[in-house]
Amino acid sequence: MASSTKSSKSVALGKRAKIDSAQRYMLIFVCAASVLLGVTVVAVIYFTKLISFNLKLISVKNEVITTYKNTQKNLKEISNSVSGLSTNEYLESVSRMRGSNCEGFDEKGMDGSYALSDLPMVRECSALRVITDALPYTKNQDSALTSFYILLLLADHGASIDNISASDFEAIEVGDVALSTMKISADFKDSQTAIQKSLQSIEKSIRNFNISKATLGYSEDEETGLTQLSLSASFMSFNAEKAGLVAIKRTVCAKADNEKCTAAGGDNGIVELSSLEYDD
Amino acid sequence: MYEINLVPDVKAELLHKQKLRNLVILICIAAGVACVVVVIILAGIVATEAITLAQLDHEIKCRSEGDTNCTNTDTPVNKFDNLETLLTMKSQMYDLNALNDAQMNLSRIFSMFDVILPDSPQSGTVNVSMLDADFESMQFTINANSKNSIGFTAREAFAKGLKYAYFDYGTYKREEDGTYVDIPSYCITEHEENGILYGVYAKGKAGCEAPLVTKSTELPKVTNVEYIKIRRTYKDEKDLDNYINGKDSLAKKGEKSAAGSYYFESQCIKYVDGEFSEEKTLEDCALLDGDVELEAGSYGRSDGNQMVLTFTANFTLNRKAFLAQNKHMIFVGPTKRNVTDSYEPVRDIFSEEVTIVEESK
Repeated sequence: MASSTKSSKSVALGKRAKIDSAQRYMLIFVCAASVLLGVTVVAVIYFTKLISFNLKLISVKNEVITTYKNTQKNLKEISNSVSGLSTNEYLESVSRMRGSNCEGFDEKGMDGSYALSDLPMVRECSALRVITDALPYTKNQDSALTSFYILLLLADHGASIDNISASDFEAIEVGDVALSTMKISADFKDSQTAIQKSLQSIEKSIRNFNISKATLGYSEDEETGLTQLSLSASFMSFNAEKAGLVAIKRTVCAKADNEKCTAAGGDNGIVELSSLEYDD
Repeated sequence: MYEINLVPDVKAELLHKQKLRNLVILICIAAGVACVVVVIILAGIVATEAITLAQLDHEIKCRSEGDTNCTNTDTPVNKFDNLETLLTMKSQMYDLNALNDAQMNLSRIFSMFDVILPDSPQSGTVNVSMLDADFESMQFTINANSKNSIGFTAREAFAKGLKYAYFDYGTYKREEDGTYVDIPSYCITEHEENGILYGVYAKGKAGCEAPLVTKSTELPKVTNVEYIKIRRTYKDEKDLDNYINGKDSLAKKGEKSAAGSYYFESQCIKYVDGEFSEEKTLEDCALLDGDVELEAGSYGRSDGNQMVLTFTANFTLNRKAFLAQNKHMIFVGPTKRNVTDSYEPVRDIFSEEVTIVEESK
């Protein structure tokens, strides 16, 4: 009896030990699983943010590539248009004399299939020279005044010019176009017919001299005492701005409400504009 | 002796714990595997994105700077020869359109005044001694006088005449291959003959269906120029339609007419029920924009012992009337009309300022 009790007790102890062991194993596995779960949660949060940010980056870079593709396509089209216009018969018929740098231009066989490296010569010597005459891109006050004065001289029985002066160049917008403008002030004294002919000569000019203000009236010549019609007018002379490509910097923010990032222009597409420098 | 061996509590508890242990271990392993799988998937996505980003960076570099490993990306943007020159030329061509659209012709003012200033024994003759014009706001101010006005009649006639004056512009057209194309404005000169306005087309002049020149530094030679008289004014809408279809109601027998091959397309003249409607025409093409403000006016004896009227008027004119892009402009007043760009002045519109020494009461 006593021995069976003793053995029962030891079996029970053994079983208790097994129970404890089972509980220990459970604890170990649960702890390990908890640690793994915790690490996984952190990793998932990190990867999710990273994936979301990368998706944004991919989208922006795809937009950049599309912009590049469009720019390349447009540049090619512009090049083809310029090439075609360089031999345009209607432009050529406007009959602008070529500059002295054009010797040998025809002999070079510039029939519209020139390389872009020849563009400066094509601009000055082909039919396209009329465009530079109509809207120069180099700001030259003397050249503009000379062009204006020549128009007055070319007017058939035009008016006598009392005074011509010009202001400095300043920036202006005509429609949605940014240009440089120089104001030319001119005073004429002559008959009504002569003044009208001078104005018509200016208006027919291929180069744009746009009237902004005018005062017409009679005035007496101090020396001769003769009264003549006088015109005091302001004309705007225009120059194109040199064009080029601009570099746009895009900043992508991981968080849309990140003040530091959005203050730097993030997610709005434009942070800095800087002109690209390139060799011609 | 019987020994009742009931399942002791301990054994039952052990069995229960063992079952629980197995279940917990199973769940933990499953959770662990799931966590690893999720992390691997997410890591895989990140790796794929990294590869994609690298490819995109490579393509951007190819399209901007170019690289020896680039294929099918066309000429890189920064490798275009004379890029600045090319873009400047393109910009110049675009800018020229904007400039030409904005250009104003002051010379039309003489033709306009010839039409709107009264010049008749009934109303008197009005001359301008000073004109101030602002082509940005289209505000005009004149000091005017009349040496044969009865009282303020001339001033009233001027205000009324300006109120009902209108303009017209448009394009002369020629037939080509079954359709009508524009004739460049520099090919046409206009004049009035027996009350009818005509545009004379110098066909064969440079740029007017003349042989074109290429690669020439010389002026094109003018060869045979044919002058074609195209009617501009029509009695009514039916007269216009007939003219387009080849029937010129004013052509004399045996005379060759331009009808059927040429006509004038007006932008302002409006017809209602086939008849010319001045009211409709004035809606879009009234010369005056707003009202005429008549300032201080005086009527009295001048220092030349003549009865004269002087007055000042402020008014705003319709910008369209002076835009250079609106070709073949004519002004139509109460008693006359005038072409502008081919205009030869009939009378001197401007005169010296007159001073009244004794105002009439």
